[in-house]
Amino acid sequence: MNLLRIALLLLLAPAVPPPQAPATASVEGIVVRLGTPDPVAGADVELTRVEGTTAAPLPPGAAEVLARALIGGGNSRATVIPAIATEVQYRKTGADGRFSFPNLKEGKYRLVSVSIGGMYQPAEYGQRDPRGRGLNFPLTAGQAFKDAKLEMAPTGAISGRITDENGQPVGHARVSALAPRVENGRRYLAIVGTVHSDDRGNYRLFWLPPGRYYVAARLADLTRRSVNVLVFPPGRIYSNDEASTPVISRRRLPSGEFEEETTGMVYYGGVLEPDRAKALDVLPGETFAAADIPLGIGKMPAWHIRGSVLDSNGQPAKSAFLRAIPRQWSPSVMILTATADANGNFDIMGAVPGSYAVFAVTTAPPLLTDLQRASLMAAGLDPTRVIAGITSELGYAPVDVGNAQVNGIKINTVRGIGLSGRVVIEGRPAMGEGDPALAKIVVSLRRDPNILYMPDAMIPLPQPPIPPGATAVPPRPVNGQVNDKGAFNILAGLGDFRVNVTEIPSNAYVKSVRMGNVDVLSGGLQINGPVDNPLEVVIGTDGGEIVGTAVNDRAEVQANVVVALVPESPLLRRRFDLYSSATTDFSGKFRLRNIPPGTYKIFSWPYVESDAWQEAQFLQPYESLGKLLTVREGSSQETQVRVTPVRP
Amino acid sequence: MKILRIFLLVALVPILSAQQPAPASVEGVALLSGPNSPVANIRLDLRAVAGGGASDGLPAPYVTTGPDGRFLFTGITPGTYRFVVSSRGYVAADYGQSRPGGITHTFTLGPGQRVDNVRLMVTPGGVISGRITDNGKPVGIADVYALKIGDYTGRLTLFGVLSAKTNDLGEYRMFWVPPGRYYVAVIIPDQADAGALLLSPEGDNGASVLATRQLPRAVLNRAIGSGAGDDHRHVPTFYPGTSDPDRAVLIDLRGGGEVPNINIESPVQRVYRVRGRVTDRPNDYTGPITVGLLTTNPNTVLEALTAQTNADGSFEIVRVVPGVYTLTAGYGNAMGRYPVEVRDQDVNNLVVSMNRGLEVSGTVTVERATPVSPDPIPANLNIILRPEPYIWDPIGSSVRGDGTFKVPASAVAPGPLPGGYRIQVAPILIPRTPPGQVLSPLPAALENAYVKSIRMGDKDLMNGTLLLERQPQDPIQIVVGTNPGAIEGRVMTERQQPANSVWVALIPENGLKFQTDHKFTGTDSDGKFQLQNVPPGDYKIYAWENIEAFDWQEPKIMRAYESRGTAVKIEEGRKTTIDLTAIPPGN
Repeated sequence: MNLLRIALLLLLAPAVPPPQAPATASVEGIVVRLGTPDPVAGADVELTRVEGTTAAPLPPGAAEVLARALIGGGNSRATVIPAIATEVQYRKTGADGRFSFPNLKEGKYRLVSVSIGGMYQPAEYGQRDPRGRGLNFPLTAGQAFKDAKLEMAPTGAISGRITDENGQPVGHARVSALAPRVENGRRYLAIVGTVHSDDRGNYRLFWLPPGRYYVAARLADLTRRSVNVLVFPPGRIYSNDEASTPVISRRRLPSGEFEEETTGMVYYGGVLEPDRAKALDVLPGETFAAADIPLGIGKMPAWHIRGSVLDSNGQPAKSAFLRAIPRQWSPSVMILTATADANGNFDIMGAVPGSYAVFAVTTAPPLLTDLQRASLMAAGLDPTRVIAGITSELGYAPVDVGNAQVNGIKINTVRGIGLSGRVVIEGRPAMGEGDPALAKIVVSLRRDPNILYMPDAMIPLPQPPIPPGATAVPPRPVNGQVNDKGAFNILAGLGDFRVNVTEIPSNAYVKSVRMGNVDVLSGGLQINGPVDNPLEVVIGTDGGEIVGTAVNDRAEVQANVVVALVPESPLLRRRFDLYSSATTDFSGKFRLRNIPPGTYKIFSWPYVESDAWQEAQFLQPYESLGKLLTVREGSSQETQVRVTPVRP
Repeated sequence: MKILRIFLLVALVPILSAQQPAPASVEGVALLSGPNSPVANIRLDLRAVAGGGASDGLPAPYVTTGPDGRFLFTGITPGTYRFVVSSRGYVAADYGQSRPGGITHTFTLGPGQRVDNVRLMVTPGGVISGRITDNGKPVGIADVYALKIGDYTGRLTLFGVLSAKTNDLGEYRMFWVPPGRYYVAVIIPDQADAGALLLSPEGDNGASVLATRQLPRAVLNRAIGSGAGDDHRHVPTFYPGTSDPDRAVLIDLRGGGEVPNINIESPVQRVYRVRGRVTDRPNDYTGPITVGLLTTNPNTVLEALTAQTNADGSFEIVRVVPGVYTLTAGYGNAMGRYPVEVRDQDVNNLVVSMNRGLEVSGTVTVERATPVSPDPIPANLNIILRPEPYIWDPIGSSVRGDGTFKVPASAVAPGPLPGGYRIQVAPILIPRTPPGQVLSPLPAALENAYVKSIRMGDKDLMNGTLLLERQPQDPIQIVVGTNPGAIEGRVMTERQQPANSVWVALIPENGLKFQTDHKFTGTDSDGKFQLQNVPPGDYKIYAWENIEAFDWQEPKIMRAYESRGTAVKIEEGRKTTIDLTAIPPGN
């Protein structure tokens, strides 16, 4: 209706706006090739109003839809979700690269440009780096924002050749472009694109945003009908990791014996270890050629891991499914699988020197013995309630492989390990009836390292039986759901874990997680068998707050820069829960909340990969530039932080 | 010669040891198919044939050929094997044949047996390469397929053998492609993302794992302005640049050869919407009902053209390429169907009424010299009514032990709606098997059984179509014969040499021509062949020195050979003998 009215008004009085009409804002600008004045013609420019004002609010529900579409999964189609359709507008740039959006409501906006066909990385207004996010900017009633400039970085490519030990081309090698990603203080190389080499050994990784990359190759398994390659349109890059079974070959020796070998992942630079991989820089619009990889150096003898599996009744776990997963993270982890025979014996092939986590999954035996029942009770689980619906069992054994066959591994499977625990929120009065804030909290386990294809950290709890006469299905219990008294239970798998505590009150932080005398927040949790001690979680509510402004050398405020707070003590640098970060807004301001009391250093950079500052190697050259801040219980302080250029 | 000798040897060697049979050995030379030159430094292995060989479930161990192409396998567990080249880039190793794509031989090794001087023909794969453009601009991450097109289940089906993705320059290169004739097609995804690459023409061994996990790190995690919104889309385009598979051009690829410049221009097409309403929903059901557009034209089948009805029964299907469709809606025991043609505008206001459909009943009669009671044949059969023209919406029922059947079989299943149907009598009269699918063997009771006739009143439904306009009064009468004939003979080349390892195919001269799997066999080293359990009737028989397996099922290919067949009549319970001359290569 509104649109129609505007159209009619325009038709009737094209030149003179009616005097009573609310003053509208406008955005005009240009799309250029990064670092040049050259216009990009035919680019699609999208303007989205992401925040409304009291005078011009967003439609109901639009904010949530926008949050999903702009940050989360989003819609994969080139269509606009109806709930936000009125808040999103498109233009195509002309030959001069210019665009214009008239008649805008007041609010905060986001401006993006995209070019079809992959030649350019999408650009956002206010971006500090082609790989970084843009900046939401405000428009007030009547404001004419001219000269909005979007700089689009031409994408680049990496090409090269994959050869075997004889220098011959290798076809169908999986070749990946890798980019660093920091998680829990560790730097991983994550796959951002994968292509296959052709019969001449040639490959070409393309549509890469300019930046620093690593390249790695491994063999594709030709017994598969199909494989996935990963090439995303620019701007839609993901961090991927991959798990696959290795390609194993067995040579028949004249003696009638066999020699087994496999080929590992080889990085550009001719090395097998990601830490020693050679980096290369992809420049805008250019191809980094001759990134050749001698895949032959990845060839190595393959060994067997043999042993047997017993179920929780002590019987051979017939047809148990086994997987041996390297404990060392890799972007493309080689997982080994086998099935146990009728006697529970297994023979896993394809192992190379290193440390493996061997998991066995088997069907749970039908009946619980008294002994089992007792041991489950001892582990804090009520076998009649929790265990009845669990149909499989899991076993685990850490195994180190050297240059020899590994025999005699014994694995016992269990339905799960029962953990019980308690959460305390500090400074809250005791509640006789229970604390509803506690009943929201969920304690969960996450594998560490969280390597693809490892079994779930927690075993899903079965649906409880429906009581006679029930009119509703009882809710399925949630692992780690805290009750209003603070108690919780978890049915855990076996292995190494980190503990996550989520849904805590908005003004709170996780102060400590302990099991017996183990500091779980620092060191993680290792479960190899029944656990005696409860997990004790303390939630602190005395966190402090830091507000501030980021400025450059000339004391000018800096919008859209990263501000990171790092624990001062090297001893606490492995407590990743103590780090916090923010991005400055349009006026260069930031706010950090719920900071555990302590001493910190604060840093600021124009653009860095998220959590890069959790890695010691990254932080080391900036260490002396960090500004010391002490956060006291419940305090609030204001500060100014100097933005430091990122060192290459 | 060699094959025959092995079989003789196997027959002569008695099984002596029950415990650990003495290992066998095989020694020979690998030769490049065509020039017959020795191939050095390639890996060969012996793959145990399912059920016949000794496999420990581990990868088959390989040996490497020497500089003179020679190889030696020792310590082989007795069993039935075939040779495989495990070096990358080779597509086939066939022992006892002269061409790729021909007849694959397995051989059996007895305990302690030693086989010498095997001549093994190996074939390198070929390359098809080119460039994909949209309005002259290169298209990246387009999927290019080497395709076989077959007439399966009464409609054209595209079967991808291998695929490749284009790079940012629009270039693609499909390599290690088995020699043969292919169509090449490109599909430009409008929601470009990671995608699958067809890697192995042989199928999947199911043992290999490949899993990926994604974390978004996107600047923009959705497509904006992809250039193809809801009113435009790319459609599959065949070389040399047509969306009509009938106008696609076949590419002939030889072993180790390259066919370059297979360039395809694939622009976006205007697409339309189909809107309407589903009425007469059963039991006043107002929940969503899936409405779909089914088509006989394979190039329009890209993504499911479906929609869910709203509470008032209305629906809208988007991105519909112009063409002829059947709109279907199904819920419970009710179905609706409506023919739709989309031309150059949206189709609006369709009304699709749902109903229970019609009922068809009938009997299966088994002809036998000596009747048996109860006859085991009827209970092994299923009657299927397959819509004609074909859409994937068959309706069927099993046959009772007394030979009667009724479609629908029960009150909870929908019956056939008015329209045309072909009658199938599974598993003895069924449509062609698509490539890559393997039929389970016939049950013993059906070994001699064949469909002799299918009638409704005076209408012949075996060679024709059942036209259901209203509730039929007459039952369907199916006669199953159990006294098949046989044919045998010898194939000579035009130069009067025995044609060994050549294909012989028997094509019926009735309404089943190209509709079912036709009988075929390969000749032995003396050019002899035989085919058993042939349903009596008129046929044409063909033998070729050079044809790809199953090409005789393709009407398009067989047009060229129509006059080269020999008419032959197969009679009940009798063996026909015929001598043939193989059609030489290049015909």
